[in-house]
Amino acid sequence: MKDTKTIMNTALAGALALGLASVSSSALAGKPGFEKCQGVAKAGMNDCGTSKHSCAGQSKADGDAEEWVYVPEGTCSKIVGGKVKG
Amino acid sequence: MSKGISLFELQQLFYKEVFDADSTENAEFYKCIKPAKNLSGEQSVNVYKDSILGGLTEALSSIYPVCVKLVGELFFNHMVADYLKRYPSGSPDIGDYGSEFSAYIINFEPVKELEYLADLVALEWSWHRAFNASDSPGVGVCSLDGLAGVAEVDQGGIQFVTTPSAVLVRSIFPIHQIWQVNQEDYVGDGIVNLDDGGVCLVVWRNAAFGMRIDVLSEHEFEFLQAVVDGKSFSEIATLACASDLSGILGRCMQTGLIAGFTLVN
Amino acid sequence: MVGFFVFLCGISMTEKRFPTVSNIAGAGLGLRSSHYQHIFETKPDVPWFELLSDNYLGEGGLPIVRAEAIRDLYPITLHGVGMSLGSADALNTEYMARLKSLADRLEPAYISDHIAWVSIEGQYTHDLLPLPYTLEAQKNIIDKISKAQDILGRTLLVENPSSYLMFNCSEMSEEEFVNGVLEQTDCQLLLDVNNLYVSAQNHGFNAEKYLETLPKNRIKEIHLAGYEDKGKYLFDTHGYTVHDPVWKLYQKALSLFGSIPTLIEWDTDVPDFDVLLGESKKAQKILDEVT
Repeated sequence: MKDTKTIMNTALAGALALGLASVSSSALAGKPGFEKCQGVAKAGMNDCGTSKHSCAGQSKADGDAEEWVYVPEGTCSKIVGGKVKG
Repeated sequence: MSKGISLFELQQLFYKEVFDADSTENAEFYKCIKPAKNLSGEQSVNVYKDSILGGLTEALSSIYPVCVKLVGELFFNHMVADYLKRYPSGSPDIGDYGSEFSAYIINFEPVKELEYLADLVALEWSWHRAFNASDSPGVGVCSLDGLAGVAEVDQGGIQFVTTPSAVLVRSIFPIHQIWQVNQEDYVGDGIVNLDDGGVCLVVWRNAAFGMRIDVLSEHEFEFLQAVVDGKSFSEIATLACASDLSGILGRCMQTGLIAGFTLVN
Repeated sequence: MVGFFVFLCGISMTEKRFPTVSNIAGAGLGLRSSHYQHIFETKPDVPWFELLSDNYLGEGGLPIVRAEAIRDLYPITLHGVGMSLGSADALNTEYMARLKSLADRLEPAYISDHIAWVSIEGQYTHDLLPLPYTLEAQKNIIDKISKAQDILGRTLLVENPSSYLMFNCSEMSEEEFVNGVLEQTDCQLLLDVNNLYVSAQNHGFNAEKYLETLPKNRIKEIHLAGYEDKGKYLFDTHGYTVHDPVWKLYQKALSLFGSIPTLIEWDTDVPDFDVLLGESKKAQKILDEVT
């Protein structure tokens, strides 16, 4: 086993030899990641909060949140396998 | 009698009426109000209640869009209705709201079959935070250009610093696939098999403001976790990831995940 | 900053303590995130934009970069909902510090918030809630406006609210409350003509008479938007073009106060940019007729 000094020295030299911060994303774990320019969608969190009332307009006031008659009915039906409980 | 009620008491009563429908003090609140001319007391209060609860629900929908798709809008809204009452918003920035949604889901009976959901929600929260994170590491962090100048004897005291947006997420479920198949631009059958197993991820924003989710190897994850935990280079050199430290460090520096360093004695 | 507090001493409340930068004029538009790209690509002829300050309080990232890019092209104002000026809680100094640093970065012509409360005991509703019009509530908001101005180092604009209920404990009308605030602080009024119309209709008071009580030289900005007629009440959703009675009330306001910078707000179902532009042109035409 190499000593830590050698490990550090070698790692630094090797890493620096690659050159720094090229924005082009070299894959980590050898797999491509996911990249998204989600700026527009996320930027307006408060767009609906200002000087007006109710973006939503859905009736929440007399909701029956206590009665759990609702079941998830989205794309979760496509998530299969795993430790399915009987 | 509402005369003599203080501003503080009145605002407390208003808040309770919105968030705690069962409060015994709500009758007291109704004595204080004078509804709009064509509305009953309850109707006028409900305009505000709907607006407040609807606004918060909409905020959480925009932070957790994949969760909404997974469980459906109706179910999501009812799940959130319960959350809103238990977790008050403590910040004037509505974007700070919803940090405990993942913790809330873990103990939420109606979704206990969806074991991956809490981890997926944590991933969405990390994404949301990374979007607004600081652009550069704080003051006192040296740029990577300075690394070459660190004397060999001082190398053990190097503490790497990740880019401020980076959040590490790991799950025993393939939450990155679940996230991916539920994106607007995804094309495919949308099926994910949980038997594909777990994953180590880093959610972050690169220098071009691109939002990224990257899959990490065990060693990469261990390295970045050690950096986040403030471990020094000499400590990191004793970990399992030391076997490929040159490659890991190089990739993390090139992508910008490692953004700088400090020197400790 | 050291000399700043010394400067405050011995100056009467109504005198200006801070310079008011006034580089906006004409009919501007509220900036919404769905329009960034269109604005950057076409650089439309708009005299100024109002940015929602609460969208740009994060530590970094794209939002602030975009805000700066808009600021490079147009004069701007900052408008927010987070100050909770009417709350019995103390001012949130952390929020104010973030807002100040944003203002230092963007140099808006004005910073504005509302005559309303959004939080109590540090719990935020993120909605503009109505105040009882009592002396206690008036003194409270006056103190907080003054403190906010001290922190920001500039005059604040405060906006009249739209409302759906009032309180039995109120000791005065809304216009008396608003006028008292203007008399006892050196802040300015952001007159929301749509809010005034909505509240007047909902509660049955006379909007024109309300306008006549306001001090002419203290109104620095006007807001216009489209309410939704819910039958039994008008709902301030900002989801429509400006309605005729609001245009009429706007003309009345201009006849009283002169050519005041005016802003079109649209928040629900935000349409194409050109629809907003059309509304601002309409307002500009009315502004141009004011002598």
